[in-house]
Amino acid sequence: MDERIEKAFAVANYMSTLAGQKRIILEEYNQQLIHYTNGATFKVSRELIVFVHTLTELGNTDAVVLDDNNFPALIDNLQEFLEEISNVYNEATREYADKYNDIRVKRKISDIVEL
Amino acid sequence: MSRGIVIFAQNNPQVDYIKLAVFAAKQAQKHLDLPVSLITDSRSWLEQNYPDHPFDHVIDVDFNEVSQHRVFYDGALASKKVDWRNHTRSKIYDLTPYYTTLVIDSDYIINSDILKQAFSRDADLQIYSNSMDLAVWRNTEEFARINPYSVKFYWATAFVFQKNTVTESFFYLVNYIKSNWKYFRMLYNIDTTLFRNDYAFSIAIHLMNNKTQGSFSVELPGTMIYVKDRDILVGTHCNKMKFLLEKENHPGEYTLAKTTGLDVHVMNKISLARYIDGGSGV
Repeated sequence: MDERIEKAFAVANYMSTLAGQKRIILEEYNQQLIHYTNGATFKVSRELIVFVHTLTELGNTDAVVLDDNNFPALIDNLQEFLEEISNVYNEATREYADKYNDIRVKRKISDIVEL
Repeated sequence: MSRGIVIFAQNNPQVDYIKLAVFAAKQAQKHLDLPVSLITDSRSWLEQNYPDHPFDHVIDVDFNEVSQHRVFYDGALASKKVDWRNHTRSKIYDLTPYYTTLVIDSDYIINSDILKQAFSRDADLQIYSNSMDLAVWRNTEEFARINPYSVKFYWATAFVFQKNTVTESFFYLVNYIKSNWKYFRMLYNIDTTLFRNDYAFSIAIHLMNNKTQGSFSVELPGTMIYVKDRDILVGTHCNKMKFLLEKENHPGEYTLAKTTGLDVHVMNKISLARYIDGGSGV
């Protein structure tokens, strides 16, 4: 096979592995964003953080917030909850960024999927 | 209230489900720190071959003659027709020793503590309907609805339930659907004659919701991540797993993929067994 064609196939294979791996680390990130409190489930998002922050800024110390299953959850300490979800968001996003940057600079398939 | 994990394992001549269950139980204990029980018709095989097994309880069920066979692939190019014993799942309500139970298949490998949180939820039944195939190109419609015009698909591979009168009715319904499978298969226009727990659960959830989109079941945390039997497990390390995923239109060619901290349903049981035996899975 022409050497350039062979190289093109190798690059295509690399790109396909990289794209698949980016999709997987995004799912890992989504799962890390899940936060539980008092039996309620929240996928932490920028919207949730801003919403809870707004409640605290308006002087609320507790509130009922609907979780991801639309169950009403009493958050009895909004400030503490805000700190928890902010930490979840920061840690998960930082880890996602690390993983993303890590695989982005790797040029060999074996390095991208190294255990 | 007691909490624990239950795994089903009913061996056939081709697949040692007990071996898979021992591996799955160790992973589950490591990440969820909960007792694990085994429901099996092969207790003697377990005790002879895995004397240091991790199971809290071993619960016996009767050996039933195989009534169905299924083709399992081992990668994209090899396949075997195997006996398929999946008829005891609906009896879980009576068999589980726990009040709140996580039920997993022996090929569901836990690499995270995400399911632990499900035990603190006050929900009758928690089960996955959302799923993600690690191979990006494959059509996933078969796992969205039980047929294109019918009800939502739920995975009986992993679910959490509490023992109460509501779930007792649910499992009674699953059992009823199993006993009248020919009728329900035609009623719901299912194109396979094989009895599948996923279908029976999906139909029972539909009935429990009074044939509407009700709220009887709640989504388990996260997503059901799976690789199919045409993919191959090639390695694990701590909470990481590495797979060869079949390529589209190129049988026998694969793309590598790695997961970190994701629970994965490894449908290629033959490859999983090979890996547990110390091979590379290939």
